[in-house]
Amino acid sequence: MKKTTITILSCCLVFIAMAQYKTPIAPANATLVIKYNGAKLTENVPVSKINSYSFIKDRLFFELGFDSVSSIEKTGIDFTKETLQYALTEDSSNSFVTIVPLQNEADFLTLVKKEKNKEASIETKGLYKIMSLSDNTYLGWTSGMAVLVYTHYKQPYYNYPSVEEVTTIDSAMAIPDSMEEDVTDEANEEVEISIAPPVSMSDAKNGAKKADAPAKKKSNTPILNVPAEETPETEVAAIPPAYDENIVIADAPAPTEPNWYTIQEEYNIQKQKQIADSLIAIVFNRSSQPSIESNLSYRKTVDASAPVSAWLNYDNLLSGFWSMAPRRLFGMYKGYGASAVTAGQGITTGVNLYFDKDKIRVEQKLFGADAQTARLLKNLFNNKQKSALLNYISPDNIGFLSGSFNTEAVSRYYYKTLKSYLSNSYILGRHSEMADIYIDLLEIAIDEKAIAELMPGNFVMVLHGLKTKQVSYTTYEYNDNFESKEVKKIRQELSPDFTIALETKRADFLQKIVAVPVKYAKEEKFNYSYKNGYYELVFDKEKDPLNSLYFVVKKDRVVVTTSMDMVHLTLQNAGRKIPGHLKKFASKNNYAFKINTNQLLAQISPEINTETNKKIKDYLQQNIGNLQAESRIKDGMIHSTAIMDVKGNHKNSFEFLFDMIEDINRILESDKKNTGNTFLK
Amino acid sequence: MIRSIYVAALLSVAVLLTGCFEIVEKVDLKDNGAGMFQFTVNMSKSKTKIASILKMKTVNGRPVPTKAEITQKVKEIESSLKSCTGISNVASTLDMENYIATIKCSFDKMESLNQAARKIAAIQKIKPSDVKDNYAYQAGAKIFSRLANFSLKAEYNKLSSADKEVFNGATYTGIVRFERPILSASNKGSKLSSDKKAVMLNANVLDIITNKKSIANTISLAK
Repeated sequence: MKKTTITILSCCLVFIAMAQYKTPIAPANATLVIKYNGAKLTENVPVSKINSYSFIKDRLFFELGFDSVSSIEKTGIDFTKETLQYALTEDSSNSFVTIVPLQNEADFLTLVKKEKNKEASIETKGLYKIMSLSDNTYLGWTSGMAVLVYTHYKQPYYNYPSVEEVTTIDSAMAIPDSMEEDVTDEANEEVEISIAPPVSMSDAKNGAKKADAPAKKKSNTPILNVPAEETPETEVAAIPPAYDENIVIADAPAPTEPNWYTIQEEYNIQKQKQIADSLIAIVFNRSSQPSIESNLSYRKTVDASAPVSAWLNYDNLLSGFWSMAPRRLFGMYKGYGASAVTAGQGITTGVNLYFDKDKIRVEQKLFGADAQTARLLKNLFNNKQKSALLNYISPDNIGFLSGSFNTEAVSRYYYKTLKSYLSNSYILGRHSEMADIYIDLLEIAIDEKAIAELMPGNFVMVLHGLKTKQVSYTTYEYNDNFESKEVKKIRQELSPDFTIALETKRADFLQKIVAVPVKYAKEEKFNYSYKNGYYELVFDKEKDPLNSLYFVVKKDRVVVTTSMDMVHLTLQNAGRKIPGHLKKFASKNNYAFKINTNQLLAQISPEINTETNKKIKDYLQQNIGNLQAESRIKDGMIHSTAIMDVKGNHKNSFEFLFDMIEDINRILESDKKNTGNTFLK
Repeated sequence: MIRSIYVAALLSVAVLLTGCFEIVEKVDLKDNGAGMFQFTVNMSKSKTKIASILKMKTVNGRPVPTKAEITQKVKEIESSLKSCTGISNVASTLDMENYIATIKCSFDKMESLNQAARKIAAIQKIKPSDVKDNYAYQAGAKIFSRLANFSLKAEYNKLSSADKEVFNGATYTGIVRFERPILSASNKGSKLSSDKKAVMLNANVLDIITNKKSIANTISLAK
């Protein structure tokens, strides 16, 4: 007896433990996964410190509609544990799931109920409870965890069901075998898979034909029922595709029937609830569904130790987009639908956010799991920056962007994309071999090598500084009797000083292009002329931000610049000494970007004309350092890093974010008190 | 009139997304209540920004009017004024080099000017009934009133933060000139001319919009 009691008690404890918070897992077919490592984040800025920021209560809670919350703890959420969010783009629905750890169920429910503004009915589902917050938002929770599901069932009335939809069981509703018994009874019931839409003018014609079609299946219900367990392909082989003239639409209520749309809405709401129920069940029952962690793309790109990480599957994102669009929008058929949902075989990206002591760092990895995609990505970056272009960069510049891509590989990437698009299109989808031939023909006609010779893919864009230029303006002066006279005055305006330099192997061709406007300048009334080795486009000094723009084509490059220094540098083919770190930074990366924030803020100062904005500018100058980003191939992936340096008296860069919002908010509040000015709200 | 023109400024100047413009309102009033009115919007100080913006189709989600549309709008106002009873000598100038627009007219009495304002308001799709009188003159008592029965705060609050910035640095100058010497002016911001026959009021447009400053003024003249 004692043994039995202990066994029962042990089982109960296991169940109770299961009901508490376990590190949540995203499913392998998720399109987007975002993780917040609560332990790391609250280690940087403790919850007690977050509570001390006035903007959290005064602004953030207010903006979020949490007027009733007095402190962050009173939300009932345990911010020290991991929070997970993921998006699912299924063949018939899009869902966004948020899993949050709870430290106080009662506080959390009080908050939810207050915000919902009405008493919700609560369903108990074994270990957890469920409540509907709206027609498409559902909450499931235990004492230790809450799962919020937003779902949108997409069976628009204007969308005829395709044969794929009719023959495929909705994966959003598919429950793993292990859960069929304890999660939902609906999984064993017949699955409602389509509702015929109202008949449009053109469709009515088809409908007339369908009435005589041998495959027609008539019934009094607008729902076509197919047992879920049966093999879809074999079951519906006789069901014609939606676009086929034999489509079954006789079941549809007449388009004029007033409650047709209401029926659709009710059907969608019912579906959304079923989907939300199943998604919540999956989380709480920790079913044996494949985890995102088992996905190579995820493991390669996401750092589990990052305070915040996000992972995106581009294929599934596109699939979700196209399946949401009306069937014939953009000529797209269902090709990007269910069949295109992948577990990351195509391009995926992982973004990891770190809050270091003196910088905020974002690491992004772009990964192609299959060999062809990986090769494609690698080829795009198969180029090296020319040292001649680096001459235009100088350490006293405000910023620069250096790029080095393989133009030929980029062209080839577009052929692949076009083929994929056309073979999935409504018209050409059934003749994909023709689409293939068209693109091949295009590929033959276009000479990618010639394009690559014209623009090999190396370029730099440099913002040397913001110069000032004098501009006159008209105003009025008044004598002692207030009689006015027009007067001309002068004011200083900012004028960007920049250079864009591109590598070319067809200087002869580009020389012709920059020379052509000279002939038409007089006729077309613009000031463009050839000077000693370069061309100058002169702007209206009174009206345009630039005075002149210079064009130079020299040997291996074409240069567009506002700086005569850069014109001379190009014409003389001169070299400049660039600090080693800058040269290395620009030449070792395919993409390198740097901004001297302090210099930028200092140079835009003349344009800042209110005391409040000046205070904000001063604050940013004291607290924000340089911005830089770089990107290159590393470990077979496109690896990008963006860094924002942080200065000032902050324990770490995460705390800096809170401090910055608090301090800027304080400046704005003070401005409002002093002047009643609300324009910066 | 000023309300309708202000609303036009709120909507169209906001489209042009530029600060530093000035508005000048002038009224020359004779003893018999007739006079001359002139209204000027001077965006010359922001002409480089306007020139750039006019090359675009939309800014901040709003359509940018073409030069032809701006000219057309000024002409519409001019022809509307011409058709108003008691309004004469209507003339407008539009300097698209310096972006200065001026419209002026003569009026036989203040009420004609108030009615003209309602007509202009209609062009701006503002209900004429929403436009209150802007001026009043009691010829017997020799009292002129610049009324400010408008509030632009609601329209202003509807603008985005970027659009609100447009009014930062914008100024208003109002000058009222009489044939007789001025005895008193109720607005504390009033400046009196040396010949004591004109009053000038200066304010930031933003202060007027947010009701921090009023341009209302009651001026008593010597009898």
